[in-house]
Amino acid sequence: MTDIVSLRPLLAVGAGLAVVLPILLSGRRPALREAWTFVAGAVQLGAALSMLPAAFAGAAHVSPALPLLPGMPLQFRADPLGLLFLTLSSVLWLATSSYSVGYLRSLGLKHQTGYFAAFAAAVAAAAGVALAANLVTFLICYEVLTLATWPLVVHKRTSGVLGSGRSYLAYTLIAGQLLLGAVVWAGTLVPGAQFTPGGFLAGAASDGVLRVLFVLLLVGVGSKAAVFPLHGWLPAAMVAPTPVSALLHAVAVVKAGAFGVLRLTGWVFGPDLMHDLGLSLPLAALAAGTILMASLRALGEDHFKRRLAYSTVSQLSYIVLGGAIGTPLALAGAAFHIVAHGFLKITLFFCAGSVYAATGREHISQLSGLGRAMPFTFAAFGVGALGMAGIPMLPGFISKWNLALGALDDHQVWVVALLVVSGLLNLAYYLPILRIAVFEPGDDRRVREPSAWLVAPPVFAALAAIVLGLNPDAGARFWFLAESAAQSVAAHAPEFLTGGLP
Amino acid sequence: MRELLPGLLVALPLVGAALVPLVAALFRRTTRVAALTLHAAIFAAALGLFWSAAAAGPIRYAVGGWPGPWGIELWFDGLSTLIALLVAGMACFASFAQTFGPDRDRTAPASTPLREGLLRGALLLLVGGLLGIVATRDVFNLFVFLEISSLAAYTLVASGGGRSTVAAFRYLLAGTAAGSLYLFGVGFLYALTGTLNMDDLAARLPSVEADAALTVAVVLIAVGLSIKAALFPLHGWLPDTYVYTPTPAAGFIAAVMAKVSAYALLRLLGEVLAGTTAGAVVLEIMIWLGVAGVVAGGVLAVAQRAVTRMLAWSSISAMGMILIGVGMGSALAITGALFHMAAHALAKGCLFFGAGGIRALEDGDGVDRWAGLGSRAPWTLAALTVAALSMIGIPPTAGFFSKYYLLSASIAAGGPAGIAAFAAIILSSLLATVYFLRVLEAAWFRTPGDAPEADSERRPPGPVLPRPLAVPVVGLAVLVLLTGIFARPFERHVLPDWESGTARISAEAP
Repeated sequence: MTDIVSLRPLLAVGAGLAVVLPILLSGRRPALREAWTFVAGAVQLGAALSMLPAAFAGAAHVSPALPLLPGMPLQFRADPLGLLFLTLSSVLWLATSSYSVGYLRSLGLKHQTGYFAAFAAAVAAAAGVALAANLVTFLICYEVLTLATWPLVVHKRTSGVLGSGRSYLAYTLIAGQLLLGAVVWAGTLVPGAQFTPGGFLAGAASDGVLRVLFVLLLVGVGSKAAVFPLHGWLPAAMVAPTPVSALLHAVAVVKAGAFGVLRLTGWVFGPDLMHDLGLSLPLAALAAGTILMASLRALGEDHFKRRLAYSTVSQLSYIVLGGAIGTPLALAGAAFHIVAHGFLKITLFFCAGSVYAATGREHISQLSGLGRAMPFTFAAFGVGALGMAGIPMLPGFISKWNLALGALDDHQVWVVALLVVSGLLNLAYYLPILRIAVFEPGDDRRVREPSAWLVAPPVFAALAAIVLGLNPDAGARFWFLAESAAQSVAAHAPEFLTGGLP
Repeated sequence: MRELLPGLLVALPLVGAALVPLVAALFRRTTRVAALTLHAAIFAAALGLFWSAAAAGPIRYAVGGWPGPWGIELWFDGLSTLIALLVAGMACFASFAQTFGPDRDRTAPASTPLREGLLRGALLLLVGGLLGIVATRDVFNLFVFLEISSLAAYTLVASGGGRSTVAAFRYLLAGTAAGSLYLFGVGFLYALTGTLNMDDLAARLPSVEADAALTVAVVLIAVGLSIKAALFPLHGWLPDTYVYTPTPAAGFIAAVMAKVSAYALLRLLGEVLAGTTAGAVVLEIMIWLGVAGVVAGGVLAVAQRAVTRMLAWSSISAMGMILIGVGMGSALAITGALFHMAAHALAKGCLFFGAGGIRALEDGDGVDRWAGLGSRAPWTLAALTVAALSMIGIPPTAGFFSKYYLLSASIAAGGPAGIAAFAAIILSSLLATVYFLRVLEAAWFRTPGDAPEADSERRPPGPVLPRPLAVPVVGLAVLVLLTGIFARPFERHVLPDWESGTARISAEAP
């Protein structure tokens, strides 16, 4: 893969960062303040799109290296996996921004300036995580992401909310310090610690050291990805305003963690080394356990957003599972699930937020009758719910199908069973929501759809999901990116290649 | 000019220390300007020396034209000019902050022009003493400067009146013991080798290696300087001193005082005495004490309820980290130690100026006093936040980079000490997360009403810090951000000097 030195990766990362200060300074003029957000979103998206053609041609834009530490520069590189995540986050950031405007204004929330500033910083950091070319750059962006999200989580400022914020920081910052230790260690073993398809750590140290390193790195990225038993903060963080939860789950924090797990398994250790060290199966088992545990937990949850949160815990472990299996199809499925889950989960959260904005209701048992009063919102919700369960013609199916095929390539038949069971569980906790909303009679006839700001984003996300489900290579060619990312890993691990791509 | 700068750097503050009180007595109004101009000139001299040493190599300056080993020599390489730059720079901020006056405790005597002049003179004297320690190549001369700086520091600490005087007395006891131990050590060295010049000493030491007195000398010097550097468990003087020192002086003393002693340890143990068996053993012990200090300082900082006391314990943790680097002695470790000296000095100075000012103006030092400050003074609090994040080690602040170097050095060193240091540094970051985020959370996300003893007499909205404190706080925070990212050129310049220095000394040893 050839590298093109250009400033576009920096532009993509810097756009969000550059508007933080202008947003803070234009707090008295809401229209201008929100304009900054949209400008930055458009610039970031433009930068992402402009780097796509090179990726389609098998090249990658790479930023000039800024020397930070001996042999460890700050550098961004738009490889297929990074570009997939970046493009996704740019598109969803724009959608979330317009939703945020409607949401904050209709509820009259305070501290809106700080909200938009922290939002921009969080998205910039997520873009940095996506494009980081080496472990140090990844770590820096990862830590900035943690802190930028904190004000968003504790937006309501009550002491219960601050407690949730503390638990969020406790998980993520402790994990961040372990990650720091692991990054330093990896950087000592292999100077540069550049993400390399197929991994760079093979033969760098004894097996024992590498296993310890793996555990440290996994805890570092896994706590953000909410892998059991490090998931405790995520349901607690549901105290955040809904657009924040939406972005947290679809793009920024949790997804950055899952993305980090993929980077770790495919680009730091590599499937080969993971198999040799005997790490693949334990990780896959951990992911499987998380999937089942979180699904069961979601069944019993009546709080709307918390049920969605447990669903995220379970869905993101598909990505971890794909990384653990490590066959090309499984990796491609996992990478594509970043996109699929992004569009579907943001739809679901937008719907939950619209319900709250229109009625103030937060519990599933209170939703009766709202399906008829808010038809667009609940139509979008239906798409998201079915997509999560992996119904064909929606993007969730594509990721799960490829995960299953990839698992079969590695003769892991149990994964297929797991996917089926999990799909059924998904239906079991999503369909009752639709049943209550659509078929149970409502008691309040005054409920209407909220403003267009709140209706358009979920409808857009749901339509995008349908398009992606019918043709996963539409638009930004997410499937192509996922596939070429998986292929690049496989190409560096030829003896392990047990199954080809279609 | 290159010939004049070394003399100026040490002479300017000492002469200024005498002149400024005179100016205060005679002209009154110009005291501030005169003091600030002097500090700026000292900083310019330090900067000139730094550049000059970077461009044309280390500078050796014989005081009064008497060359070593008989006369006193000053020695300016990348290492000493870097620390001089740090001291002189922090002094500029401290001088600016001195306008705030020492009147935070109502026990402080009323400020008069003469008193102000005397305190400004004391700060200049302190700067002169510290720069002397940094520059001198003579072990006895180092003692003289150590005493000069200590005496000036006692004055500044005591200037708050009330409990400050008690703290100053305690500091004086510890400092005097430290100075005496150091002097005994130097006496032993002189008796053994007949020389006081560091280069000469390093050349002669191998011939007396077998003498037990050498071990005694090394231990005395190490213990003496470790007291001044607040190496655990010799840190007893530090918390009270930092807490009760009036804010403008606290920002300076907390930032650089212990670090200059750590620098002296680095010079003497890491360079001059490095070849001796006793020196190597002491350095090994220092790593372990550093590890203990890092953990103990962090744990006790978490236990504090008062913000300034918490900052003081966090300093003990940071000094432990610096001395771990000094003890390891590899190029990476020394870079880490130097980097941490700079990062910690900038951040801790910023925090002490800020926390001290808030303590004085909000009438209390508890975390609850910080509630709601974020919305009242967003810029000041943003600056303090940057400094706190640097203390935790969050990228891209300077503290992240120094921790990175020290962690790398620990891994490269390996062995039980390396692993212990690695674990301790990670643990200290976690502890710092706990105690700093507690303050930041109160400042940004709590309202004063949450505080248990909220009273109706709270100050109305408005600036939290007066300008003399706000300017240093914001300026230092900007430096904290920039230092981390743009430190590579400094490092490139400092390290080779250090390595060639130690190499030269080991080459001279037969």
